[in-house]
Amino acid sequence: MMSLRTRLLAGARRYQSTGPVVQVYKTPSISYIDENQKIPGLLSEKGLENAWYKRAELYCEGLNHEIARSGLAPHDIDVLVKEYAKSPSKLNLFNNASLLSNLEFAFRSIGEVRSSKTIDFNRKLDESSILQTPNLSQKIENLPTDDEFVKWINSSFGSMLEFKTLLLNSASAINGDGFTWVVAKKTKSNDQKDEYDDLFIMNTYNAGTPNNSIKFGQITELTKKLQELKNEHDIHTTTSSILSLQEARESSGYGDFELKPILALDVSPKVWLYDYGVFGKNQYLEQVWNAIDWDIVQRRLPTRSSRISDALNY
Amino acid sequence: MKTSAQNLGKRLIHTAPKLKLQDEFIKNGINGLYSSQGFKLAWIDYQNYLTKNLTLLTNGTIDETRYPFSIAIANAKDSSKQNIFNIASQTHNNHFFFQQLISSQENNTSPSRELNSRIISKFGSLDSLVDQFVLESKEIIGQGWIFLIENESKNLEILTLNNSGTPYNFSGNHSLDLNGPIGLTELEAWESIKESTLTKAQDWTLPLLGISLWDHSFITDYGVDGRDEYIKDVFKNINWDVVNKRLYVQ
Repeated sequence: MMSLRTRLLAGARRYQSTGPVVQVYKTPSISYIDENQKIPGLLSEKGLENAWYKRAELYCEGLNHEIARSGLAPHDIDVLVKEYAKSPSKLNLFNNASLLSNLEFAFRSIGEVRSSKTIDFNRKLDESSILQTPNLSQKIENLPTDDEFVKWINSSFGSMLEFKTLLLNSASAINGDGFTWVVAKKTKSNDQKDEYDDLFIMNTYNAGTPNNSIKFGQITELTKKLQELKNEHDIHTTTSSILSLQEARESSGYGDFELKPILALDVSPKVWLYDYGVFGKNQYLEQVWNAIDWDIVQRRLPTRSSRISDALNY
Repeated sequence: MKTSAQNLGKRLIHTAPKLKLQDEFIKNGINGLYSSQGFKLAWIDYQNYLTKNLTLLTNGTIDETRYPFSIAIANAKDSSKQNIFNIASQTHNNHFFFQQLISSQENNTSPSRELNSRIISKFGSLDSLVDQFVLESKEIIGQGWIFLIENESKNLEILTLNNSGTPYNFSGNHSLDLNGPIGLTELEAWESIKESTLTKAQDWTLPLLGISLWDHSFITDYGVDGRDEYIKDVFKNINWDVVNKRLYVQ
């Protein structure tokens, strides 16, 4: 195992860099955040500072640093994510761009809390909350209003309750940092126009991007390259029952299809820990549901495949 | 026979252990690192959260009477039990981390002669070890851990772990973050882990010093952007008497 560690440690050196830094990237301005300096009902001032301002600043700093170091032309962050999703030598650039893009998308998905439930940030949940009887009420607050969207949710997930449950459970299951997304899957219609069929919920971890198609194929290419290198040295490879990364990618439904994100929830403790405390992750998730701005989400909806919407138009 | 019958009926709940200086830490924090509030979140509340969840997850199973360390090792390779592994490994790591902390004001401990000479021969000096920790901690862009470890050849190394990885076994290190662009280095490392798992390779790594990179450990006193500063401060609060004892000496 020594060689593995040595190689991993060698990777750490790519972070050493110096050079003049130009402030190209700045914390994006989101009006409802900048006006209030908190998100009423969801995050306090100090909580928001940790969840949004300090992180956006960190990622911008990282981007400015990497741009200065590499001498690359500064592009829109989404262009950077797309461009460098398969470039390990630009790992740091990709990570900062992807994190900033995800973070901004998540904060542009929410607004003020639309719920009767208020949370006192000075009285955080304690250990007794773990053993509390789960709330079995099927009443959902802050529902989407657009009929077509509701139909689309029902046909993709069964019902609004199933949708909400799957969304929040997926988010709750993330152990460290990550985002939970609602995405629409792209398909081609008969006249080759871009249409979207079902909605899906997916998680990304750390700096992962929901834009699956831009990463597609990199493991296959690398495995080929590695195999060539191995053949040169004539190393015997063992076949195994453990899936290779390539097989795992293929078998778990990753394919060369495009996903369009329409909603993102940020699950990092950087968002909820300060205001909700150690025991408060699920309380935060319930509250962030109530803060989803469905008007914005609905505006992001792409054209739904006519084949499917017609079939379900009962 | 009586003993084994008693063991069969043995029940256990996991509880947070009490630190030697816990009462003082609750009152005054850990001078130079934690305010009282910061200490309470990072240790009292979080360890309580972890042990409560560990009890619920292991209740009535073979893991019920095991220590968190053994639960983590036993479940490290089972992909269907990663929720148990995560909590158990996290419980062990966080205790390992807090065991080695002392107020910086009263800290007159230092690395033993043996440890000091190994640190100097590997890293140059204690200060460069600290710099190296700060540098390599950047490998972890989310939550995680960074450890100074002693490998099977009795050499010192720094090991970074994502999320709730464990330093003791390569199969549970979680050192690779494959969420971004992947290169040959990462793929080879992955293949190497796979092969070592299949050939049941042994890993005799022992951690000497560990620092939590979870937000829980620094958000209160340092904010989300204060991790580098926090790592440097942890080194001023290390009780080297504890760390010295973790070193294997013939």
